[in-house]
Amino acid sequence: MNEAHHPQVEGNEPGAWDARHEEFVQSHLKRIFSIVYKILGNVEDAQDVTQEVFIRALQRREQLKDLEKAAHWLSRIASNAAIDHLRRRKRISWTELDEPLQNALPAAAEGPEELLLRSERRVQLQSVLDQLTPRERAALILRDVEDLPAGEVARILNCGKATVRSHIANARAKFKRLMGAGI
Amino acid sequence: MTGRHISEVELALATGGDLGLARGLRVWFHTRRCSRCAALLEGYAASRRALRESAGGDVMSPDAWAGLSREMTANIRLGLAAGRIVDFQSEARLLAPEPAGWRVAVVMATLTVVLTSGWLLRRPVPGAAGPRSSWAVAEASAEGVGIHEGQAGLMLLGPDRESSVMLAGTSGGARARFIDEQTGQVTIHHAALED
Repeated sequence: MNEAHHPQVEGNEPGAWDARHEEFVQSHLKRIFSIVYKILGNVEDAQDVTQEVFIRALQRREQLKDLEKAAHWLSRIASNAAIDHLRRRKRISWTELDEPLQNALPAAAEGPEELLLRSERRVQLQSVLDQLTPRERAALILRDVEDLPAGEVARILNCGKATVRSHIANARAKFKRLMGAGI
Repeated sequence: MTGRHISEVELALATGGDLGLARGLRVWFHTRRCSRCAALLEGYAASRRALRESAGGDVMSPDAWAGLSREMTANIRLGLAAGRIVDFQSEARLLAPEPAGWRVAVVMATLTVVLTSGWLLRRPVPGAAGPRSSWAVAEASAEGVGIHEGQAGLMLLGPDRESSVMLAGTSGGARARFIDEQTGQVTIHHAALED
């Protein structure tokens, strides 16, 4: 998921689109969309939030001169934007999941039965994730799916390490219980 | 079974290696001898594997992603352009004088100070009667606006900003307009001469 190359984004006029903007967006778009989608579980919402994150980022180019900071900052605002979005909506309609799942798999890799099975697993997964609080869900996704260290997750969620460990432990316990219950 | 059991929180954290070294080792040694805690730990590991399998990997196929990526890039580009237009309009709005509110009060207070100062400068000085030796001049410069007469003068210094407009009128006055880029506050200095 991590990109090896992080371009610098600098320019003369704020907001003017140039090749560096294009390169910057293409370098980070998939990673950021993936994080947001896994937190929101909904392609349309993930698309809106991802676009908003990049527009905000490119409007503040001065914060993106440092490459490491740019990648980290993007993850941070993407996670926070996704959490805010969840808070605003409270309940996400997971029925829209069917739409991306039609496109979700390489055509030659799986047959209809495997596709259906995988689709059901995803629906179950999202139902379980929906039971977690936004911060628990974000912590779980960032730590266990994106494989970020707990310290990094704490920085992204803007909280202490102890707090993020608490979110992770709660999220894992709930996830295990709900998956066991077959929700 | 051995001693006290490991708490669920510690088992949940141990699954992802999120315990410190000492506590991690304690969990490891304990679960070697306690089948109950070992089973719970394995349950956490299994649910973590299920999460990674279900949620991991690419979100969609390369073709679907290519289309979505193009669409998002175009929307981001459009959003940036729209942002620039909004910024431009905000800037234009800031340049126009505000019709009411506390900004008007600030402008009025500034005008009062300037006019009072002008009147004081033009007040006849006792014992200084006689033919006029110099003319009063209203001046607008990069520093601000002011009035000079002979050796005496008053200059209202403005902030050193790009967003300032200096105007010297032919009717005996000079104006300077400053915009605070942070607050949007507009300040107008007006130095006027009266006969």
